Amino acid sequence: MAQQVSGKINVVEKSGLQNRTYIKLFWSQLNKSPLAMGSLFVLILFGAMAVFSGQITEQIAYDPLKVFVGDRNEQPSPTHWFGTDHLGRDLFSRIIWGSQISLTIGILVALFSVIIGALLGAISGFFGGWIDTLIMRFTDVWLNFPGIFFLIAIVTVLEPSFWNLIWAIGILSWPGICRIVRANILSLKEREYILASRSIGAGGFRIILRHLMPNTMAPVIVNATLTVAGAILAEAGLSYLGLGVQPPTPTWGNILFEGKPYLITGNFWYTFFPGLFIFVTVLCINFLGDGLRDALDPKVSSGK
Amino acid sequence: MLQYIFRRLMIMIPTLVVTTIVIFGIVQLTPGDPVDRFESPENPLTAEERARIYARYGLDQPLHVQYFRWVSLLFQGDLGTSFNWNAPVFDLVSNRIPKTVELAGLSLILSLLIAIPIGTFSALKQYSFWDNTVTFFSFVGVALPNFWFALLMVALFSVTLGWLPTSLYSTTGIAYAGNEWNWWVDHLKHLIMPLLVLTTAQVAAFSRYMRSQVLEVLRDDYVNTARAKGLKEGHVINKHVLKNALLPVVTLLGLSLPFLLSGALITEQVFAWPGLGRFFWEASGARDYPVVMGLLFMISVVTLFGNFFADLAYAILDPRIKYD
Repeated sequence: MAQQVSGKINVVEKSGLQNRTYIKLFWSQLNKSPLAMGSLFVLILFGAMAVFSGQITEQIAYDPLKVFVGDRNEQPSPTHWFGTDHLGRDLFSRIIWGSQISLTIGILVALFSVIIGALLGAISGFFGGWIDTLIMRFTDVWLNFPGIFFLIAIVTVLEPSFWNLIWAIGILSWPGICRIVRANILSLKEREYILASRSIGAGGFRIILRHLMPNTMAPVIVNATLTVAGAILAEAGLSYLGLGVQPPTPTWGNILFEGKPYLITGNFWYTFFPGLFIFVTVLCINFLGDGLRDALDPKVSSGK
Repeated sequence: MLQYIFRRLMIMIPTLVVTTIVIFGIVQLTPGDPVDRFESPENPLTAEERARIYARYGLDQPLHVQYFRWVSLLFQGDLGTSFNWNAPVFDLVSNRIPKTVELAGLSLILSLLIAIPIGTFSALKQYSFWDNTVTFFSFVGVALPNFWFALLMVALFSVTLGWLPTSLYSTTGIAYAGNEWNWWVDHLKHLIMPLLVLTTAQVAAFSRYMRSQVLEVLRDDYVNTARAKGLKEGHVINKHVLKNALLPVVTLLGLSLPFLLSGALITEQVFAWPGLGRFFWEASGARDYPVVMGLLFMISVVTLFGNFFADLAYAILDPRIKYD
């Protein structure tokens, strides 16, 4: 008898059915998209570059603030891979260090807007009624703001700094996530399992946190990924206008800002390389987001 | 329909109120005394002068009084008086509006003309080589930071090749009396690069949108019906598919206004284009709050009405949608 049972389990294991957890299903789905996987690889590389910028620049490059007095506005060369800037600082080292701030801003903004957006969206969708009307009207107002104008106003009023940038960009990025979460919860809350947990006396917030939120994670993750890209672009755009994190701390945006006047004199690499890093990062995040959208959607995976 | 319009307009009132509160609130966050700007180390203000400036701008009143004063002036069409230029904000803005409208409007028309055929063709040949190429480049177009793209263009066309001027609206210091044609040629040379930069991102976004719309309509039953009764493919596409796929594009036009203006701001900045965006940036740098508040309000109102007209156009064009 016991043997029979274990035999059955073996059959199930061999067929691989038991191994198909959601994560594995998702991973195999994502694996099918070479663009998304390639992008993930590049992003992990950039992430590692940001985390280990100190070690990397120590080993193969220079201190980002070190001035090579004789080497101002040098072209890219074996000593200075991306050339030097107008003060004689090594651009490769500055870009490596710049990735830290640029990527951190992107990730923190996404976190910030997910927290606000998911919370407001969940409350709005779950409780409905006048709370819903109020929150959605408020969301519409935010969606209506032409982003960069408000960003400029907020940042000039508050002085540009790391944390001010994060909350200023974050406060303009949450409405999209709020709408998605609300729409999802509106349909999810009518399901039987919510009725079941209500019937055993679960409270509103418990239902939201334990039952509804996990089921709306997929679209939120996709949207958060795209928010990271939007935030990196916004930070770079503000830096370009001179309203980003202030020099000498390098970010991709402010290196580009500093290089702007030297474009006319033919030093195109000064603006080319930081911009290239912004562009490649944003492109990869968008490809990854697109891949995640397909991989996380159970309708797509079960259909194949 | 009238009822729908009325209700839609009513909804805009609370939105406008909250918008004004947010704008007013942002400016209130400013650290320091707004009157400090009238002071210099050589000429410190006396308490009397300070009080006079306070009274002049109504800064001696409590916050809610200041707010209501500002809002009531707004609704009378008075956007305030610039600190820096000492002139009404409206007058300062009015000769910059046409320049932004020229850039943004031309870019909108151009991008629709390019994106609609590209998106449609892409959808009709889904997963073909052409479609994949278009999809790839639309990703590139969306991810391309417009300021960087603009700088690369300047490096190529102005610095290296010397074909186009780096910035401004037209060459200054040349008299074109009696020779308007030369002025237009010169102006056009200044317009090409900003227009191209602004249009690239729009084309990328619009063509993706158009593609998904056409794909959705192609799945509808009436397309099958049209094919089944033996209509030529070209007729099916032109009369049945495109007509329905283009409807949501109208909504997109309204929604794309804030993006267009935001994109125009950075593009204007790169090319020193004397439009609204550049003016706004200068005003915030100079902490000219009446201009900042007036422009924020104006742009919010334009966006709001853009959405309103888009919804309205959609309601008129699509008889399937019932509004009551």
